[in-house]
Amino acid sequence: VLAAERESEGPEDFVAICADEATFRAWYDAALPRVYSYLFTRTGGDHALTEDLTQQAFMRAIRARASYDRRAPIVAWVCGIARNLLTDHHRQRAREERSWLRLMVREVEPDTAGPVAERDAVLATLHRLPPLQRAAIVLRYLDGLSVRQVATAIGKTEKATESLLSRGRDRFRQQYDEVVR
Amino acid sequence: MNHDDFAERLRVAEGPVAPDPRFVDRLYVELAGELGLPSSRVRSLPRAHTRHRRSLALLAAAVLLAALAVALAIVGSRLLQGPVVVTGSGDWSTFRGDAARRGEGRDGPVGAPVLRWRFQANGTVPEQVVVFGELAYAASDDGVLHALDVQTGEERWSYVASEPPLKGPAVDDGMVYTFDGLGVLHALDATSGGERWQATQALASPTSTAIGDGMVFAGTGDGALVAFDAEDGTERWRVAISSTGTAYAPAFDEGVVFIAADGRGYVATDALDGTPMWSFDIGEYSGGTAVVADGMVYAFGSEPAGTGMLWALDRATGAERWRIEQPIFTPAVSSGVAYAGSVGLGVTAIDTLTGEPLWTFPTEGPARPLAVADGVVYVPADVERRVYALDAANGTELWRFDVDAQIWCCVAVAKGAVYVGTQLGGVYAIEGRVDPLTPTDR
Repeated sequence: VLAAERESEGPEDFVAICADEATFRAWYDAALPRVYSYLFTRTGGDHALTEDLTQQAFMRAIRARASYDRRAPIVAWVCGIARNLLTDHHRQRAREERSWLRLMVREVEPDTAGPVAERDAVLATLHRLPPLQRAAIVLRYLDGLSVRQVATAIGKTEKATESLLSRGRDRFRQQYDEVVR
Repeated sequence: MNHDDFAERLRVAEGPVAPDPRFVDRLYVELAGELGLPSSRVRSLPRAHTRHRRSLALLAAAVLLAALAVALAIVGSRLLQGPVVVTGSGDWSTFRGDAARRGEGRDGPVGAPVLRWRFQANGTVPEQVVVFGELAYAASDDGVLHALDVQTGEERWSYVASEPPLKGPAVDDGMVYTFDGLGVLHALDATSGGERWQATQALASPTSTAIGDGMVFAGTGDGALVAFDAEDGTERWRVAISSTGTAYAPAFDEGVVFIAADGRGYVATDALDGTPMWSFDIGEYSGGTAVVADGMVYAFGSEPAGTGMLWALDRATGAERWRIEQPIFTPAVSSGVAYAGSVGLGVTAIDTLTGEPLWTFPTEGPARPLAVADGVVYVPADVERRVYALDAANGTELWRFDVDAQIWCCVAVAKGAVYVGTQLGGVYAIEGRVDPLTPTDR
């Protein structure tokens, strides 16, 4: 889908994509696995949660299609929505009341997958982190946000976020050792 | 390990994952419907949703596991030569068990009660003993927080407050939170007892805390509800619930804080910023600890004359579902039944759907906040100096265990034992013991 977008003459018109069944289905078939994969890693390999959040992200995206601002590929925009939903999930707060951050997200590259056993161990370890630590860790180290951006996303001070990250790293190492033991 | 190394380590988990094709089609139908598009190109429509199928699979797995557990229990009890001591993994991390104050544990004693250990503190233990991981935490009114090994009762560490007594404690994510006698909130490392931070401002007569969404919530004697950042103690927000009366221990559940304050009644507030969502007036009654369970909020009101009321409110709107015009405390709740103590009416079990009493169990004097776990109700009978275990189904006494003095607070149920603190500083862990079957039972 990214290639299709790049090959097009200009930024994609999401409203137009959503107006035609064949075009929408083609976009959907390409976009869904990417958003799903993005969330799957960041939920610590939780299929049920990934499905729930994927469903919400796509529904929100098509409902907000007129507000897509074309600064990033549509799939990256949907991943941004998904990330906000995931962060909100971790914070367990009223999702509707929060304005969404419109931050670029790291694209999932097919060739970045590691060895299966190690990947499973990292996913299982992420899954064991407390929600807020997991949110901070994935935003900082998988999405490459700055500490200030992470703090904004999770509604913490920078100092508290540094503390969360530090404890999250310690806990990750400890839990990882237990997972692979 | 620096930032890049750690990030590299995590990125191992990145990569494409194929969603379930049925989920793909189901979501497509939903989106196409939202867009008003035909969905003629759906490959295969599932008859049941993934979640439903997963639930069925989980149910089947649970049934199999339960059958396996029963089989193992039978075989195990016949093989073991000595007493069987049952232990488990549940926690009881705050006043009334969890932030919603449900009072429901997962892992009580099995069998006849025996003393696992008793610890002697140098002051009354007037508050909840909490249990998290391998430690039980008990605060005595001489200002000392004792961290005790749940298996042996050995003191692993203690924390001495500069200003006694300590209020709380509550444990969450590796930290113990407790107020000192000046009303200053402290966060201690749960493993070592080392102080991580203390709040910069004191609260007037703070209540027990509730922890959720990365915040520590407490009511105050001057009617406020205050939220601290759990990581660094920064005050996130503060709202005046009542301008005329004291506030009681808050409960937290899924982004909402529920609290009572005299002169205002029960209030639901958004945990994000304290914005009120609804309130329920209880008139001239004094309030109590809010309890949230199964879509309802339980509210207690009492008058000095000894009359009182228990209300069940709709969690979302605060609308009254039912009331019982008796002075009974907010309950522990499990499987559609609420179990409530009282000052003089013993224990009452109530159908949460209808508010109809199911059974009662008499005690002399107050039945303090109780606990329910695995079909057993544990009752701290204050002046009787005793803990009762009752059959949750009908209130029948299963056993009783005497302690050395009055019980001013409550019981905790976790790790295969019941924990209680007493007026004379006793901290008890009461576990269960099942005698093995004799060879003639085969």
